[in-house]
This record gives sequence, C-alpha cells and structure tokens, in this order.
Amino acid sequence: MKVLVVEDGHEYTETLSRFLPDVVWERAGSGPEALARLAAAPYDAVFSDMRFDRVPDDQLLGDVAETADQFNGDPVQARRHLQDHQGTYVLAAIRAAGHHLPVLMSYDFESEPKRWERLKQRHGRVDYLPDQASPGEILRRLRAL
Amino acid sequence: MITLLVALALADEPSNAALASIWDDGLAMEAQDPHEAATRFRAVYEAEPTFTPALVALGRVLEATGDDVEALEVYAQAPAEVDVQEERARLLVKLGRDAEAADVFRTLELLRSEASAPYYLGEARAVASVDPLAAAEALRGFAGRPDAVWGDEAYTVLVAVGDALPSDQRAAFPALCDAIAASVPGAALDPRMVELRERIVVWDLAERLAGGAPAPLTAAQLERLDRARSAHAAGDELAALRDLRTLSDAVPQNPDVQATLGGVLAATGDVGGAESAFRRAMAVDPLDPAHPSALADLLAREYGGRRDGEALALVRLAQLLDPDDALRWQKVALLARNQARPEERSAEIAAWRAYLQLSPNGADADVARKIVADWERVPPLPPALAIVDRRPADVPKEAWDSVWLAEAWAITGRPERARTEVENALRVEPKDAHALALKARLVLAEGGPDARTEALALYQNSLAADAAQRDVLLGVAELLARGGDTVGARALREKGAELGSPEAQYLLAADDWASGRAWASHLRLDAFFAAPSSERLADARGLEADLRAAAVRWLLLAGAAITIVVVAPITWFLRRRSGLGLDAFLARSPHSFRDVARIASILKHDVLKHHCVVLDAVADALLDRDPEPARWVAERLYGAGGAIAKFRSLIGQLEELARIQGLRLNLRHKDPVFGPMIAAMDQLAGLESQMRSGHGRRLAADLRAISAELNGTSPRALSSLVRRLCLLPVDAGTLEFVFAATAAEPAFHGKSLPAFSVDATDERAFVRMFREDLVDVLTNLLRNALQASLDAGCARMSVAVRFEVDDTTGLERVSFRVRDDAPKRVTTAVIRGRYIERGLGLTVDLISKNGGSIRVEDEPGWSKAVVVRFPRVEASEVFA
Repeated sequence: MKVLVVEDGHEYTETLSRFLPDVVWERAGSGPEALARLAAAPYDAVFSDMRFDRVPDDQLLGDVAETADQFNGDPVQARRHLQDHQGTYVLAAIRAAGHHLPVLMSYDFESEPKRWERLKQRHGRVDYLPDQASPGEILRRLRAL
Repeated sequence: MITLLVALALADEPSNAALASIWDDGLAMEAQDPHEAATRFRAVYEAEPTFTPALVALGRVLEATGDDVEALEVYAQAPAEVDVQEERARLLVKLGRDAEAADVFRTLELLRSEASAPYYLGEARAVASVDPLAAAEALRGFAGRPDAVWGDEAYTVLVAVGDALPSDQRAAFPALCDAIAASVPGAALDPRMVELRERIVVWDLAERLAGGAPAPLTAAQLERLDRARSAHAAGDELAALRDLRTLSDAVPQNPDVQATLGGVLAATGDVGGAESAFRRAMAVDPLDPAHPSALADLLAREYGGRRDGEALALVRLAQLLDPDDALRWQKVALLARNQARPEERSAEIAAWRAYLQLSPNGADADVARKIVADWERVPPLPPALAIVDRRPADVPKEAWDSVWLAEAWAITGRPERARTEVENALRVEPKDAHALALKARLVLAEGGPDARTEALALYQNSLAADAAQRDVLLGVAELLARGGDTVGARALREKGAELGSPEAQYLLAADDWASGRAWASHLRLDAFFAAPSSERLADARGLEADLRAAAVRWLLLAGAAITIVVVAPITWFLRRRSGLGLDAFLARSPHSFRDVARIASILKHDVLKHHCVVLDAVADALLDRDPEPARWVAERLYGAGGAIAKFRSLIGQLEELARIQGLRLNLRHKDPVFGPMIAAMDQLAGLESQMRSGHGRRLAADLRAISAELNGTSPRALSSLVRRLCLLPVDAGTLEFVFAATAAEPAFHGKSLPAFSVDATDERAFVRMFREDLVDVLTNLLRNALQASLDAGCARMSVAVRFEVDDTTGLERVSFRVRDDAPKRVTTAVIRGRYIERGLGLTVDLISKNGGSIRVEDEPGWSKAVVVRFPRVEASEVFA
C-alpha cells in the first residue's frame, strides 16, 4: 500500500514510517506539492493534516484576497483562516484535479457533524480521524476506505 | 535743484547769516529759557522749511517743557524728513502710542531703505505686545537687513513677540526663528535661540496633549505597514513609499505610519517630506520620544548646523519623554550646560540627576555629583495631568490652553514657566480643578516654609471643584501624612479606595503592613490585585513578597517542630486548595479566552497529537521485547526541546496569563481538564530513564495508563473546553431585545418609529464572541438604520438572519441583514475604509476582532441591507 501523507511538518511521516514500515508513506509538504505528486504517480490513498501553518504563503491553496472579504479585507485573518482549514482546500483541489482516491483527514469533525456531512457529500470517499489516533488506527481506517 | 535741497537739508546752519544768528541764539538759550529758544527755532524753520534741524530742535524744547502733544505736531510737519521722523517715532514710543510709532518706523524704513535696520527693530519693539504678528514681520525684516546687528535688544524683542503670540497664531513663530537662524550668523545655537526653540516644542506639546488620541491600525493596515518596513529594510524604497502613502492617506492620524514614512523619505533624500512626516507623527503621538528624536537626528544631519538649536530642543524633549537612557541624559546635560543661562539651569541639573541615577559609576559621574552638589536642591518634577479628550464645556479655552501649557513646561523641567501659565489659567478660571491641582504640585516642588500649607489649601479647593479626583485625594493624603496627620491621610486614602483607586489600595496595604496589621494588609493587597495598576504592580508584588516572607519568619519563630508537624502540611494543603481552575479564571477574566484557546490548541496539536499518540504502540513493542520504539520516542519526549518541556512551557504560559492579571492558577489541583493531564505528563517525565533504556518491568503498563489519559480523556476534555469558550446563542429574541433597548434611547423618545420585524427561522445560531461585543455591534447597526429611517420618513425596517455555507471548508456563517428603506449613503468600501463616524468605526473594529465582516448590499424589496457576517459555531447539538 502506498499512501501520500500531506502535512506541513514531518511528524506523521516519520511516526507512521517508524511504526508501520510495511506501508509506503510518501510525504507532500503542501497542497501544490501533493497535486504534483498525485499527477506524477499513483497512490492508494491520501492522509492529510488539517492545519498548515508552517508552509510559505505561496504554497497555501486558496485565494487570500477573496478570503479576506470574509474578514473586512484583513489579509492576516484571511491567511490564518487558510492555514487553519488548509486540509479542506487540499481535499477540494485533489477532487478538482480528477483524483478520486480515498482521503483520510486528521481532524476531529465529531463536534461538527453538519460540516462533515457537507464535505462528505461533496467529496465522496473521505473519512476523518481525530488528532490522537494511533498509527494502527490510521492504517485500519485507510484500509477500510 | 535736488542737489541744492539735499545740501540744505544736511547743513548744520541756516543758509543766510541772519537766520544763522537766530539759530545760534536759540541754541544758546535752550537750557535757560526754552520758551524763547522755541520761538527762535520756529522762526528759523518758517523762514527756511528745508532746514529741518530747526524743527527737531523745536520739538526737543517743547518736549523739555512738557508739551509732548505740541512736539508731536511739530514733528508731523515734515513727514518725509528722516531726522524729524526719527524724533517723532522716539516720542511716540515714549508716550506708549505703539501703533503710531510703528507707522512712523515703517515710513522711515522706506525713506532710508539702505540703512533701515534700526527702524525695523524699533517697529518690532513698538508693537511686540499689541500686534505680535506685525512685530514678527518687522523682526524678519530686521534680520534681513545688511546693517542689522543682532544683540540683546533684538533677542529681547523676539522673546516679547513669543510671549505675546496667542495660541492660534503661534505657527508664525517657528518660521520667524528659522528666518533669523538662516540670516544671522551664530544665531542657530545662541542659547537664547535654543531657549526659544524649546518654547516652540513646549507649545506643540501642549497643543498635542490637549488634542486627543492617535488612530489605531486595523490588522490589514498593520500587515501593510510591516510590508513597507520590510521593503525599506531591503532597500526597495519605492515599494515602501507606495504602501506608506496609501496608509498615510487612509490613516493620517497614525504615528507609526507617519514615523515610518519619515524614515523612508529621509532615506530617499526628501528631507522636507521627511520632516513633515515626523512632525505629523509627533502631532498624533506627542508622548513617544522616538518621533522628536528622529526629527532631531534629521535636522542635525541634513542642515549643516543651521538647525542645531531646534534639534537640541527636540532631543531634550525626547529625553524627557524617555528618561531611561543614561547616555542621552549625559548629552542633554552637557548641551544644557553650554546653552543655558546661569539663572535657568534646572533642566541641566535634572539631566545630571537622571544620569547619576541610571549610571552611578558612569564616566562623568563624579563631575555630575559635583555639579548637583553645587546646585541648591531642585524639587522633583510633578507628575503629568491625566490626558482627556476634549475641553469641558465649563472651562474657558484660555484657561484650558494655559493649563496644558503649564503641564508641558512642567514635563520639560521648567517649573518657573509652568507656574506662570498656571497662574494665568487661574486668573481666567479660578475654580479650574486641574489648574488648582497642578499649582499645588508646583508649589510643593518649589518648596519653602509655607509650601505644604499652601499646597494643601490648593488641593482642597481643587477637590471642592471636582471631588472625584482620585490622584488629588491621594496627593492631599500624602501632605497630611507628611504633616503627621496619619488619621486624616488614611481617611482620604480610604475614600480614594472607595473611588476605585488601586494606588489607594496599595498605600493602605503598605500602611497596614507598616502598622503591623498583616492580615488587613493582605486583604488590601487582594483588593489591589483584583484591579491592579501597572504603576504600583511591582511595589505590590514586593509587599506581597514581604508579607509572605513575614509569615514564614513568624512560623519559624513559632518553632521548627510546629513548622514540620503543623505548618508544612497546612501550607501544602492551602497551596492545593488555593488558586483557580481555568473555568474560574475565565469567569474572572473573560477577555483571556482567545489566549487560552490559542494555548490549548497548540497544546493539543503540537504536544498531544504529534508526540503522545504512539505510546500504545511503544507499549506493544515493549511487550514484544523490542526496546527501539521506546528509545526513539524518548528522543522526542525528553530534553530541552522535547514534548514534555513544551507542555510545561505552555502550562507556564497559562499561569503567566493569569498572573499578569493578579490571579493565580492552580491547574494541577483545581482544574478537571488540566489536572489529570499534568499528572500524566509528570508520570511520563518520571519514566525517562526507563524509556531511554527501553526496559522496565512495569513500563508498558504505565505507558498504557498514561496513553489512556493523554490520548483519550485529555484531548476530548481539551476540545470540549475550547468549544465551550465564549459560545453565545443568537436568535430572534436577541434581536428584538436589542432593538427595544435601542428604540428606548433618549434620541428616539417621542418619535414615531418605523415598524420593526425579525425574519429568522427557529434554528439557533451560536457565535464565538462576548455578549457585550455582539450587543454593541447590533445596537450600532440598528441605531443607524433607525435614525436613517426616521430622517427619510420610512415606515418599516427589519433584520433577517440567514446562514451561508462555504463549499470548500464546509463552514457556515450567520448573517444579520439590517434592512431599511432609507437612501443608500454609504458603501462597503467607505465603511471598511473607516471614512465614517466614530461609533460605526468602533463597530467595524469589533466585527473584525471577532472574525466577521460588514458589507452594504442590495436587498430585493428594500433600499439596502447592511450585512454583518460572523462564523457560525456548530454547537447546538452538543451544548443546547
């Protein structure tokens, strides 16, 4: 199994590689890099983090100016919004690029059931796991997808 | 013919012998018989009108006999004769007829243009007190004359002009000083000129102190300012200027923008533009020393010494505003010593004292000590008055201006001038509370045998005018205490405490402590920390430490055995029991919720998520006798950069957040979320050696227990905590309540209000913000709509509540659409650009602070809708 891990750090990739060496875990450090890797090689699934606050601004998916309109034109809040919810932008971009592989998101949607229902309806084969999921749980959920 | 006339006019004697004889007789008898002499001089002049010495002599003897009016009439007979008109001007000045004298001097300036400097000076002197602007113009003319000699007299007139200029005409004075400094060699650094520059700075300061607060920047504008600074740092001045000019147009009243613009313009060589920008920065933020300092550097650097006097005055102001720089104090002191008059050295002495305090072993410390020792004691500067935004209606403008001028002089170390201004304020308004209090402080600072009594009377008069002056109450209390009336002092401090003065609480606590009432002191300190003042925070913490230390000493004296057997357990118990959990802290300090949420989120994401999720896997490996995972994880958990250190640092941040507000967190024992988490982390920390070795009989079982807490209970509790913070339900009832309260405001009493309706579903919306913030926002929008509807005679208005979904993130926003039929006068750009009245501007800031937006939109069936959107928190199912 070959999984693309989309995260702005290296924590998931290192931990998953260390504890689940039978799976191939490849890392993409940002949304654009993930799209490039998906276009270049086949993967069985994507495991994506939600918050990306360690990538350069030009590596963030989403339009800062357009988002700023939600914050009275404030680009600082807009950028923070894009960072905090970048995982959903990555998911939307993957689908928009025509990739329909399973995507597992590392984010606790349990407290936002309506939001998750909307995302699920729109993007198909997706699931989530809360932040504290162990490597074993992550693999189990990916296989189930 | 002309040559002949000139010759006659310059002649010492009349042209024919007979007249010369009469002329000589007149001169001879002038002293003994002035009347006869006058007859002869008149005869000579009538016979030979071009012989003007006769007219001058005639006027002179008339003056000598006391007939000044007649003398003036005589001088008026030859309006084009220089020698006669000089006498006429002199006599008019002597008689105090300044305006007429000035006219004569102006005539003389024309008659003798190549050597007219004395006339310009005479004109200026004549009208300095009655028409200072005209005098300033004359002084400018004097400075420009090649025959002008600048000396004491010219400076005296210049000072008189400065004194006489009313506040609304003072703008002319800096230009006059500039002209003089440019025209007269050596004038720029003449001590008298420096003193005048200082006066200009003080005027500016006084005006700015009374002028209100600077304008803040929005987050977007701050971002742009940072970008401009980065561009400037990278040498891209054009890019920096683009952003800064945009900002300057949008927020001209922001000092950071102006100061940065000044720096960039200076770097591009636009010295004039830079000066203007720095002056604007000074104008809107008069108490920031960086602006006068930057301007002083610019003037000193760019004008080759021509504006050094002005620069010195600005540096002095900067130093007074930021007194913690020993080297600058030394510089100011040395400059002041070179410049100041012997009788006005207080600024120099104050500078040396500050230097010694900050640098007691500095290079010039011995010199400074000797200078200070040689100088009689100079009292400390009085504190500044509290700045208020606008002049109270019952205080006359002249008194208001004078009080602030006095305050500015006091701030700049010139108590004698402050005293003059405060007297002027009290002459205009004898019951001005500010002026009375300021005078009391000045009197105290001056010292003297009756100073305390006089100051006390002034303070009491000030309190009679305004009884709610907490600082004045404390000032009077201090006076009473120094006079031995400790009971009276305490009573006044208690009154101050009742008025909410943290300073009074601290002083009472200190008094209790000094009187041996430790428990009372402790209670007072508690009251202080409930609403602390930054000025006394360090003192209060010191007193708190003293109290604690005293308690410990007392317990030690009670006996080591009791300490061990009784006190230690009690202390341990109390420590467990004292302090606050997070809920209690947030209840006392609700505005900390954003910081708490931020820290909790980092804790969950950076500590628990990335470092603790593998504990079960490590336990599994240990059971399989594989030690490597444990060692691998140990590298991430322990050490300076490890997860446990990060966890403790974040807990420390939470405790610090409470401490700076005078509260103590006890998360370990009082908080149901953090208590178990801290215990689990402590347990994990205790396993370091076993984790590093990968062995330990119970290690796997311990890790599973810790994992259950850190990966199960704790994150859920933490998420629940963050979700709970400041969650606010909004529904139709909220809107109807706010509208009812708004409609009941006095501005709408007795008016026929439009019908109001709310268009909302039964679905509740939750937003994350303070109730008062939301009510403020809705109130302002409804008030504006109500007023606009009334003005336009509209019969209805409404608020619709809608929910909007962002397809990408799945997030929802709740929108409040305030709809009316009044004409559309503002646009989204106008509102967001803050080209609006202050109330709506504050509302826009509140909306931004809470992650929302405001727009003006078209609305079918209505004239317009002002739409406010906030993120909707999906919480109804969980917390309803």
